[in-house]
Amino acid sequence: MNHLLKYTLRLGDNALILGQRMSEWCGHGPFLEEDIAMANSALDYVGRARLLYTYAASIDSVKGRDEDFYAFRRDEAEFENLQICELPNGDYAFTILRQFLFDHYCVLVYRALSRFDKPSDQLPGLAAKIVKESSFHLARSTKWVQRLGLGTIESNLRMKRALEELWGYTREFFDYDETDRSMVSIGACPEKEKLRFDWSNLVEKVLFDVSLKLPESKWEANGGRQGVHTEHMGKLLAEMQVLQRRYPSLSW
Amino acid sequence: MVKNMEKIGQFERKIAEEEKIEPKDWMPDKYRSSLIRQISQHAHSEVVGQLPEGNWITRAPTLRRKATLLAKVQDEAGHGLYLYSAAETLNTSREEMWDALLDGSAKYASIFNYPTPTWADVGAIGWLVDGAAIVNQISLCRTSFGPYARAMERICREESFHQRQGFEIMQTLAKGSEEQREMAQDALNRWWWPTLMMFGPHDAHSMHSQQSMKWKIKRQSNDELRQQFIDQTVEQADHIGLTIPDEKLKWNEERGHYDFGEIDWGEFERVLMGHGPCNQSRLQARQKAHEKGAWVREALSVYTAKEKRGDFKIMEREAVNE
Ligand SMILES: [Fe+2]
Ligand SMILES: [Fe+2]
Repeated sequence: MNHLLKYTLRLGDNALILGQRMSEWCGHGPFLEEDIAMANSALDYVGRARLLYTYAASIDSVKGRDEDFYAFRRDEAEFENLQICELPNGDYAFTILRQFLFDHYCVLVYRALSRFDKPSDQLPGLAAKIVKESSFHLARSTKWVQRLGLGTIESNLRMKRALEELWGYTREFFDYDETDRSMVSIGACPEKEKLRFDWSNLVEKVLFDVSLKLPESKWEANGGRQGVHTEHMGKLLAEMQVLQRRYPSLSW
Repeated sequence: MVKNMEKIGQFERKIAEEEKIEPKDWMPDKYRSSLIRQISQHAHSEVVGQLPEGNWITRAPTLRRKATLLAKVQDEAGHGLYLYSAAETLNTSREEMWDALLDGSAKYASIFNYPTPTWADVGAIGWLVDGAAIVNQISLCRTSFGPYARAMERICREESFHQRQGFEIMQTLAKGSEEQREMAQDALNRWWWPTLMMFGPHDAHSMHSQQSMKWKIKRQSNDELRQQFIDQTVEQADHIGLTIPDEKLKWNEERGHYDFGEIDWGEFERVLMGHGPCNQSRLQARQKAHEKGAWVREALSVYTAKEKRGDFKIMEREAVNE
């Protein structure tokens, strides 16, 4: 598989798997307005996955694949999303903090992709649209981090706990492999150290301002890019793919 | 006393002349309380209505269906929001209405107390339940209370999307494999009668109907609306080759309507009294979300109060000084 295809599918997998998690909140949010807002973001993520998969199908050397092939007919090891996306939702602090950490990663990654100089290709334009969306998501999740970080003692405590749990998974953002390096070399992906610097800068400032200290734990997740997943992934896929697996090759 | 008579006269004149009653206008207490009851029930139905279809968001069979379903369930939450706002213009609060939903004292549409075991149920709900809701809501666009009528107009536009999407799901299944066809027919069998019950008891037995009709809160009777729904849906079922589970269903040339079998009013009463298959789980889902969200709402309100007081500006300045 060529690097561009692999990279696109990874982005698509991130979007779909996190979108799937976010969609679990629909109908169960903490209040009505937030239920709607979270569903809206989930829709953006699912929509993003569809765009990326459809693009991937157009460059896949195996013809006849489509968005649903990638979503429903691949096995766990073929999904190369970052593990942070597949973790169960936890409480609202966990959900919001994950969005915040991940939205910022998205803004930086898609911004680089949108500047990828390949005029005949639709990918940069697609990425530019996603940057806009992600900037909006980031503004929203940043506001929520402030609310929960500075709200009550309980909300602050929950945010602390969420940060402890999530931090090691963010290390995967910077766990570049050959595909990422190849994308860096054509200017479609941020340099690893640059990404780490830009991401940490903003994230640490926002967290500091809401009196959340960075965890000391040195544990780091790894392997998502190579199709290695947490124990949660199999269940997520079993649920998501159930109809396509049970009744193969039908129209729905 | 004279003044009161004058007010009543004015109110009744407005109703007679099809002028909308607005929140600032004088209105009889009973008119107000009937509206609060009806609009809040309607709002509750939208948010409880998120649950049966929400059950399939994570399992939708294609990404297109997943996106459409998610958007649909989100629309229903939005409808809830418009309706709570419309009810709030009558001097009640969202909290009050929400509490009544959670403690079980307020009603919502019984239809949502039925389960969604298969994907075809998502199609059946869109096609039949949203279809029935539209018939009812189009009629309510002419209701006498302004904010309710306007909420209905907005909602009707979205409901017709929902109905078409649901119909399309059923059509796809009906044209599909044998298993898919069976799935679709089975869903129609289960949803048909409960959908007819959505229009409420026969006119002769309807508790609130007469006064509501007089005040033009309701514009058409339960039986009229039910008939209208049946007439339009029979043809749609024929079109996709599914069979409506009613042996007595037959075109009546003389009436210009379909005749149909008797609804099981015993079942209607049972579900209404809380003994439907999902009454308990629907209410629990709402209570659980509310309880789990309590600390979030609390944090939000504390944060907003601090922000208003300017606490965070002081912090920012201190941070700069450091
Ligand atoms: Fe609705
Ligand atoms: Fe609807």
